[in-house]
Order: sequence, then C-alpha cells, then structure tokens
Amino acid sequence: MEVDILVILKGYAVFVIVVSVIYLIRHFIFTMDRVFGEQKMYYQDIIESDYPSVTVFVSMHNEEKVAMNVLELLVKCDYPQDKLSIIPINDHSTDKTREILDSFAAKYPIIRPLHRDSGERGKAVALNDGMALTDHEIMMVFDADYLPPKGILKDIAVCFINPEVGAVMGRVVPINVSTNLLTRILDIERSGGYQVDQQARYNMRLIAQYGGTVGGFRRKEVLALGGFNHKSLTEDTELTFKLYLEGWKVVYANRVECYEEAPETWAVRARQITRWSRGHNQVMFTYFTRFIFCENISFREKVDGVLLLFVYAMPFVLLVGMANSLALFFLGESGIFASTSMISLFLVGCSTFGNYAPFYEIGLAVFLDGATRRLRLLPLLIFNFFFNMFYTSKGFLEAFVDVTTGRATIWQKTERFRKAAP
Amino acid sequence: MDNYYLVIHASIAIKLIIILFIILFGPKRKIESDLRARNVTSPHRSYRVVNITKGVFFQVLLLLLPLDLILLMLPALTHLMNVAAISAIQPHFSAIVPVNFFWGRLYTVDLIGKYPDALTSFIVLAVSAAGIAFFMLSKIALPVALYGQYVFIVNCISAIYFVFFPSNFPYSVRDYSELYIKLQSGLWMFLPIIMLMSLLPLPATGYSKLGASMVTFVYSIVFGFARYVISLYVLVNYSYIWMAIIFFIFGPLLDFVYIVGVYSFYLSVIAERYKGNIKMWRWIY
Repeated sequence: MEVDILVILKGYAVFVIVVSVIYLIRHFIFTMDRVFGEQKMYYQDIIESDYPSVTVFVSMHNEEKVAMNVLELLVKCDYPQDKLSIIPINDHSTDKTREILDSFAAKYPIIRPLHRDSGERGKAVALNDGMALTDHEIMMVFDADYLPPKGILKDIAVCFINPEVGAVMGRVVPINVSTNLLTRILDIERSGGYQVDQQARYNMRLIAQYGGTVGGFRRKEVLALGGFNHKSLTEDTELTFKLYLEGWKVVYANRVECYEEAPETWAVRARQITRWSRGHNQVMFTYFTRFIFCENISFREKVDGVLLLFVYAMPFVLLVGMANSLALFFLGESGIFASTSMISLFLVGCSTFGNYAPFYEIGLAVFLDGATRRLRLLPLLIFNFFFNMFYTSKGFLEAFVDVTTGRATIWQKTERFRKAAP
Repeated sequence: MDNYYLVIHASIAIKLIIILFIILFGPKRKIESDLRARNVTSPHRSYRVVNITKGVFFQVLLLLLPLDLILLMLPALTHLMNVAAISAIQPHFSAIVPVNFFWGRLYTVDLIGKYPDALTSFIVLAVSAAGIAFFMLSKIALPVALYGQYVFIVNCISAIYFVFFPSNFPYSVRDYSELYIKLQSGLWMFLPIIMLMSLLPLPATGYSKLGASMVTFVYSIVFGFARYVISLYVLVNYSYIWMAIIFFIFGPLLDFVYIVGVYSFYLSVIAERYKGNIKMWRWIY
C-alpha cells in the first residue's frame, strides 16, 4: 500500500513538472511572437459610412461613485446618434444609482435605463434582460468604472464588418496605477495579459478571449446560443467558448484602449480573483469535452483553448504540488530530486524557467508599453504568486462544488474606490 | 575528468578566438548622432515590435562564456564550499565526499547533524502554531500574511514530525549536502542559459548584457555559497528540525527572486536609455 502511495506522489511530482514545462513553452512562444513577430491588427483602417446599430450596456449595482463618469463619456462618443442606444442597467441598487441614471435619461434621449428591482441579480441575467429591450445589431458592454474614449464605439463596431467575427475585445488599462503597490502590480500584470498574451493569441490565430467589457458581440447570434448563462460568474469566458464552438471568431483590438479602476485593497482583489477563477473553472468543467471534440475548431485552436481553459486550474495544481513535495520530503523521498543528476537539473530548470517565464512575459510587455521604473517591481510579483495561487485555488474548489452540486452562484460586485471625477 | 577539463578549455578557446575575430574583422558598429530623433513620432505601443539585435551570433558566444566558466569551476567551487563550511562549523568529524554529476565530479560533505530533543520540538510546534494564528488573524497585507502562514506551516509540519517520529527522520547532513550541491550546481548551469534567453532579445550591446549576466552569476555564487555554509551550520548546531524550512523557504525559490531582480533592473535601465529612440522599434512586422 505504501509503495502505491509513493508511486502516486512521485507521479504527481512528474505531472506538475510536465504541465509547468508546457505552460513555460506557451509563455515563451507568446512573448517571442509579440516582441519580434508580425502583429495582426484589427480593422482600424476601414472608414465606414454605414455603421451598424449599437446598444451599449453598463451593468450597475450600487455604482453611485462611478456611474456619472461612464455615462458622461459614453454620450460624448462620436458614434452616429441615430444608431446608438445606451442602456445602463440598475441591478438592485440601494444607493443613488437610480437617481443618477434617471437624471441622465431626462437629459439624453439615447440613454434608456433599465431598473431591475426584483428577480435574480447578476451581470449575466442583467444583460439578458437588456437584450430583450433592443433590436439593435451589435451589443457593447462596459463596466461601470470604465472611462471610454471618444472613438471607442466606432473602433469596436467596425470589426463586425467581417461576417466571421462574433465578438470583439479591447484593451483594459488601469487609471489609478499610482495609488499604491497593489495597483502598480495589477497594472504590470494587466500589461502582460493584454499587450503580450491576448495580442500573441490573436496574432497566431489562436483563442482570443472576449473579456466581457470594452467589447461587443452580435445580439441575434448570442440569443441564438441561448443568451448568457445565469449561473455563470464569467459570462464573458463562457461566451468566448460558445462562439468558437459555433465557428465564430473573436477579434482582439490592442489599440482600442479603455481606462478602468483597478482594486485598491488586497481584500477586494482577493474577492475579484476568486470570482474570476470560480467562473473560469465552471466554464472549464462545462466546456472541456465539447471543445475537444468540436469540428469547427482547428487543432492549434484546440491546443490553445485547452491550455486557456486550464489556466485557472494551474494554481491549484501547483498548490497540491507544494503539498506533495512536502509529503515526499518527510517520507524520505526528496532523493527523487537529487538521486540522479538529470532529474535535479530538470527540477531546477522547471523551477527557474517555470517561475521565470510569466515574469519574463510581463517584463517585456511593460517594456513594449514604454514604462521604465515600473519594471523594477517585477520581483515583488513573487508575493502575488502566493496570493494568486491561494485565491485562485479557492475559486477552483468553489467551481468544483458548483458543478457537482448544481448550487446557485451569487454575483459579487467589485468595490469601487473613486473619490472624484478623473 | 581529464577529458572533462579538456573539452571545457577547448570550448572557451574556440569561443574567445571567434569573439576576437568578430571584434577585429567584423562589421563596425556605427555610432549615429541622430539616434534620438525626438521630432519623429514613436510607433504607438499597441503594435510596435523590437528591432532584432544585430550581431546575434557574437552575443550568443559572449553570453555563453559564463556557462564554460561555471563548468570549469564547479568541482573546485563545490570543494571550496565544503572546506568553508567545515572551517565555519569546526565539527568533531568531517569528510569531503565526491559524487558524480553528469560527466564531472562534485563534492559534498559528511558531518554529524543534531536531532532536536522533545522539549525543543514542542516549543517549535507551539511557536509555529502561534505564528500561523498570528498571520491568519493579523491585518497585515494579505500576500505577506499568506507567505507568513506558508513559512510557519512548513515549520509546524516539521515540528509535528519530530514530536511523533523523531527517530524516523530520513536524512543526514550528507544527504542534505548532496541535494543542495546538485540543485545549486543545476541552477548555476541553467543561469547562463536563462540570462541568454532573456537578455538576447533586448536592444543593447553584448558587453552590457554580459555585464548583467555576470552580476547575476557572481551574486548567485556568493549567495549560494553563504546559504550552504549557514544551512549546514544550523543543521549541525541547531538540529534537523530546521531542514524543511531551509529547503522549502530558503531554497531555489529565493534564487529566482534575485534573477528576476537583476533582469528587471537591467530592463529598466535599457528602457530609460532608449526612451524616445525610434530606431529601437519596428512597426507591425
């Protein structure tokens, strides 16, 4: 029996090393492609005279601190007014969000607030209700803390000229970078995620991800797919995979930048990353098999899609790996790391390269962004490594319980910190 | 062993000859006065890419020199580490033991370690439990609290082990020494390759990259050397109860922090230096 346990523990150690190497290669390829490869742009050179009709949704739950800013900027956008409608969705707010939305509606006819005071709360169900109120072709979504620039609606809408495009995603840039260490760290993390990871996936015709904000999708087609799943905490990730399963493509527009407010406290960040992980892993459990066997997806898309689906499961794998190595150590089996030269070298290689690769990716992303001193924060990401590993693993376990028991999920809104209009 | 040194010496000689040849007869780098063309708009960050470094072959050779150096030094270095550890600890018994590592030879040390008594194990267990509780309940930043908990959890498990199974502890100082020496040697062999992969794409001269690589390399040797001596000192004088924390907390993860530290500092210097230099960037492809 003891032998069997040891075999399992050693096998798991090898498994962790193998998957770490796979993700390391992925990071390295993405970084090299973004830094030196040919970059795929979106459809910014097309000058369109006949833009599609667009409805912009801004889902709000107690957003009195930020509601005014996003609406002021949206009405200033240069999109043809006769083809534009803005539906801010007041989702069970108990603060002054309702009054703010009503005052804007009185002033601007294109703003048509939807007040949801009863029924289920959450972004997915709010978007479904919003889509029922419009017959426009393209739906765009912004979070309430976002600050959309003037031309952003045209930039997103023009991508839908391509009939293969099911959704479009822009780049998110934190505006409150200099607030504290956390916001600075989140800024460089975001840089790595968009500037390198998303752009490289788009360059290489892999799975560009719709992120649920600073983006848009086709209304009829999404309704045909059943709309948004009320139980999903990451309706954006679910939509991405639903679209690819049906043969649609997602465009990533790196130049379409929009400012957001990054979490300013670790507790808020912990809740945010737990929710992302829980939602993403729900999608992983639900769509993994269908994605593997889907005929609408190319082999390279499948490989990338599987790695993307498992990206929020990896921290849990690593956490168990740490516990596993502790068990091996006290069982007297640390010798598997040192008994042969090749294994010790391999372990060190994985440890250094495996840990190093994401930091390398983030470093070069920040470099491409033109930052200088911010780059010196990279070593501090080691603390974030433990933090992310813990809360992402928590989200993974919650998703597992969600999927196996079918329990209901409750949308947790990210707390806002804005004090005055930027 | 003779062949081992012969191969490394030949490798260094060939690299130096090629480097010298490139320096003397290769294309000369032209210092252009208009490098900082401030009046020209720099490509937007969204789709700009870095210009491929010129003289890649030359830079690869330069950046691989530390690998030859470490291969050349490894046997002597590991021997020196053990001599230093013995002289710092002053043990009653010691023996330097050679072990095979690929085609070469490394040296480990055999010393008599100390087992913790029951009281020490209980005290460490109590302090570790208190440490875990402190970090769980404290209001300090969550990442620090989580890291603190991790440190004390590792120590707590070690203490529990020595409370219940003190005679079953499966390692000696010699085992630890072999594990450390092999892992550290593996890291030193990987270090030049990591630095090559990360520095080569950057728009800078080969000499400055070699400088950054050597700084990391020298720091790694000094740090690895000091950590080895201190950890053996702890195991011999303060007991095996600390071996887990030494291995899991102060092990290879810490090396990665300074590697990223030097890399990020160097990258920031390059970014500052080339800010506004449009020749560094290409557009789209």
